[in-house]
Amino acid sequence: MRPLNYIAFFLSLFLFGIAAAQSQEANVSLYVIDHSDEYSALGGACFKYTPEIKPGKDREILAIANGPPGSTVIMIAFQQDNLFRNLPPVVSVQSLTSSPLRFPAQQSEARWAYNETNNNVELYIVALEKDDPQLERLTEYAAWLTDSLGENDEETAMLHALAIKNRLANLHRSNNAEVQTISFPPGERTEPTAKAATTRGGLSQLGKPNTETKPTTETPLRGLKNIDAEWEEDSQPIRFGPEKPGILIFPITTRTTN
Amino acid sequence: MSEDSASNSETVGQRFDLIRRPWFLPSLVLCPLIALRIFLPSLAERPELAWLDLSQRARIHLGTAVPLDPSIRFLELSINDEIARRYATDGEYTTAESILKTLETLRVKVIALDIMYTHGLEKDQIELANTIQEINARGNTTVVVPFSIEKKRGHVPEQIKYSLPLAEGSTFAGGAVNAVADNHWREYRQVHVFEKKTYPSLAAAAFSASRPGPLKLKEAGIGRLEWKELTDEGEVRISFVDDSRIFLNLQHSYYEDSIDQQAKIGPRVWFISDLESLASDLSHQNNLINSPLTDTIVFFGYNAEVDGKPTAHGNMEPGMTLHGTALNDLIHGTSIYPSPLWLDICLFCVVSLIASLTFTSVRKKRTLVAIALIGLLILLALGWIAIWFFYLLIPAVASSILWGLAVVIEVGRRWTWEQRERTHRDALLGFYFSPAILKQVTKNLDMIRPKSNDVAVLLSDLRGFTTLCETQPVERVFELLNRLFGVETEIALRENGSLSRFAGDQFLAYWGAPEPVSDAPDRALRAAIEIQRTLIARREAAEEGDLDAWLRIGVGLHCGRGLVGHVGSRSYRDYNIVGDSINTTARVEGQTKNYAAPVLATGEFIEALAEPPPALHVDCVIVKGKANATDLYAILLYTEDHIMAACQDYEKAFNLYRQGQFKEALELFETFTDVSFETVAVSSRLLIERIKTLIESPPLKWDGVFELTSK
Repeated sequence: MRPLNYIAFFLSLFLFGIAAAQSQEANVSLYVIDHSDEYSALGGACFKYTPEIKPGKDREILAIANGPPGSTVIMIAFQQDNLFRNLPPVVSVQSLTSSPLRFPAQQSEARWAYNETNNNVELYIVALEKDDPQLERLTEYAAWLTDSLGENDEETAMLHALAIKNRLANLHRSNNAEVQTISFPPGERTEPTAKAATTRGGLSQLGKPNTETKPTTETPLRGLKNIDAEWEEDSQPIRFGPEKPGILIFPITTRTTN
Repeated sequence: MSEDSASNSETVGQRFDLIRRPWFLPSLVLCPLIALRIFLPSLAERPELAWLDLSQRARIHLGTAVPLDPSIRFLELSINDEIARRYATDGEYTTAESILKTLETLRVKVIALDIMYTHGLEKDQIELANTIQEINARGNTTVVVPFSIEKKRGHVPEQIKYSLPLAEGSTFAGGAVNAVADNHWREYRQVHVFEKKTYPSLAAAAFSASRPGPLKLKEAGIGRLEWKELTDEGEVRISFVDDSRIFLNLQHSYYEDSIDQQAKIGPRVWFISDLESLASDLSHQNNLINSPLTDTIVFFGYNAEVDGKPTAHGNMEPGMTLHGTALNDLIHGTSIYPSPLWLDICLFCVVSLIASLTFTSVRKKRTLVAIALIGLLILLALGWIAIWFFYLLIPAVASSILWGLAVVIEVGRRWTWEQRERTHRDALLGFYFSPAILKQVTKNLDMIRPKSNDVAVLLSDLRGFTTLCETQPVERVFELLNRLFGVETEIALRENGSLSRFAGDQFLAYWGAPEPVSDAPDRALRAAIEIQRTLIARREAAEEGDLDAWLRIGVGLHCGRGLVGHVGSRSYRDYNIVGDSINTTARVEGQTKNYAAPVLATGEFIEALAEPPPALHVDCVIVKGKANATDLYAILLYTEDHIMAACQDYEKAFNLYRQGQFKEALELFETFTDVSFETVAVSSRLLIERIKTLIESPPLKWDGVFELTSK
């Protein structure tokens, strides 16, 4: 190897190191929670979300996320341009002592009942650094949206939701964000997902624009009682960096399986 | 223009009074401009639109152009071989159905059709209509179908022409495709009114379709659509569009992708083949959620060859650019509104007023031209600023024309006026100044403003003029004066002297005004010697009875402060020199005959010379009316030996006289009375008489200065 090549190699390594040091990760897991009696011992069964999981009257959807200290995580669900079922967005500035963030928010009474088939619903999980130029407007709109929902001002809430949606869509289009969309292969049945086999599987997919989640059967993965301690093992990473928010889009659809 | 020339012009050109009013010329341009704006608005608007065009191009070059909203994309249907094959096999309508379905697959939010499907078979129209209805019913994508408000043509009345007329096309939610391209490519209306009903434009309809149900555009009176939106502070406000004219903020060409690329936005213009392969790839990857067209509003139309509407960027740009830009303007509130008539007239009046004030306060033409250029730039820049930052099309070009024309006419008026004045002034000043000085004076009229300068004065007087007037006919008197002044004027002007008006037989020339001259005394001396030598030569050459024999003058020379400037009244003015130095020179000249000195100069004059000439210090006196002593020197025109010897003797005697040794001086002076050099002989006789008086009644204190009691 020529000396110049050595220099180039180490320089690349150095630059890569800087880039790696600057990018950060948030994590999110999406579950379908079953509150039926058979899982009462677990406090409710947590199934990792896939389109194959059928809706049920005792079922609800729960997203759990966290981010590195100083970052902000926003979770919001849309059905096309409308806020899905008027679920208030969740915004949280992360710190060392922050507990995992839940959507719908744990404190609110709103629940995402998974009792019917819904099309075109998308859950957006957005992670931003504290200096991100988008942060202020997004959190402002989210706060206004929550206020409008609290005041039952539906039209204003729609306007705020549309503003957030447009902002996220523009970020997506203009490549000013790390966007990952979760896609599920059509109709593919895979082996049951065992707990041991799912340890932070998402890590290996870092840097890929699209993250495929392997469908699961309806075997409960975890119990709701312990979910705060275990959710990270099922999580998807959301990579983000300076002036480059991370957006992860979960399409929530229900697929009929034979 | 200087004040004096201005007042001169007042007397000269009273009949041009109106033209001289500073408001008159701007009004002369203002009135037709306002008339044009009121009666021929479209004609008046044309240059403003050209300026609007330039402003947008400048933005591109400056790199400040803003890309179209990334949610607005174009799908161009170019009739290439592939499309021609499909048209031949599947038909145009089936091809359109397929494209619409592909766009739906790619998660497009709104498809705004810029193609009027009007001439197909009923079956084809129904199939396409069904496809559109199915797409709309699924709710993911909305298809906006165009219609056209057709103008009255011959016997065919004004009417709305709908797409898919054989498949109840009028029932589709649609937008008017009328972009007023036949008037000007930028003109657009977001709302159309037809038979007192309100119809959205294609852009407004697409915008409405892109919003959730309760947020769609709503009719609020005829020709007005309203919707709710958020302010930057998160407040809800009602926005509206009406059927007023707007101009599209076409910032960049349909083909110019660089601005979008800088903003990291994906392709703005798509072609069918690219679209279909994208749909195929994404479907195969089960990754349609990542379609770059997700949530976009796509204008679907033919390319320019089929479309044929002109745009700001040329005929090769398809008309759907107009609708896309109109939508962009609607979303961002960047439509350009023509300024109302009252604002235009106000602007014209303000420009006219500023022009009037400028004409009043600015005297110099060059300054006026400089201000005019700056004003032009400001007005034109104002036009761009109004477009860029306030989305307002003000009559910047018309105002610039008003300003420019007013200035041009004003400069022309001043030039003409100055030419008239110059002719007049040159004729007037030509009497006083040599051509060289006149040239300087006409270049800089400030030179002849009243001032006090050090001057060298030459004053001459014709000897025996009273006798001449009494004995000679008047024609001969004037003939003689003209001969004399002819010589004197010519020589004085040759030495770049300035002249004062002739007073009787007196001639007055001076050097050092209107502009200082370093060698003023030398020039005056040279002129005086040459005048005397010329006259002596003329006298000697004169025959019996010739007027030249009368050309005998005395010349006085003196240096001192002279006050120069115009004096007189409005009816009569004269550029003149006055002051003590002139009086002293006159007194000195008056003494020339007493000493028989052709040229008599004062001590101050001799001291001021760069090189003193041969001269005889004839006396030291206090002339009448003065307090201080004046040394008198007779300038020697010739320096032959006997003259110089006589002068030396005279000076010896004169020194004795000054020292108060009157007897010794008297004895010496008495020896000079018969010398051939007349100046010495006559001066000696004068001093002999004076010394005798002094001996008879000696002065109490003698300092060598004798006080004259007569002029």
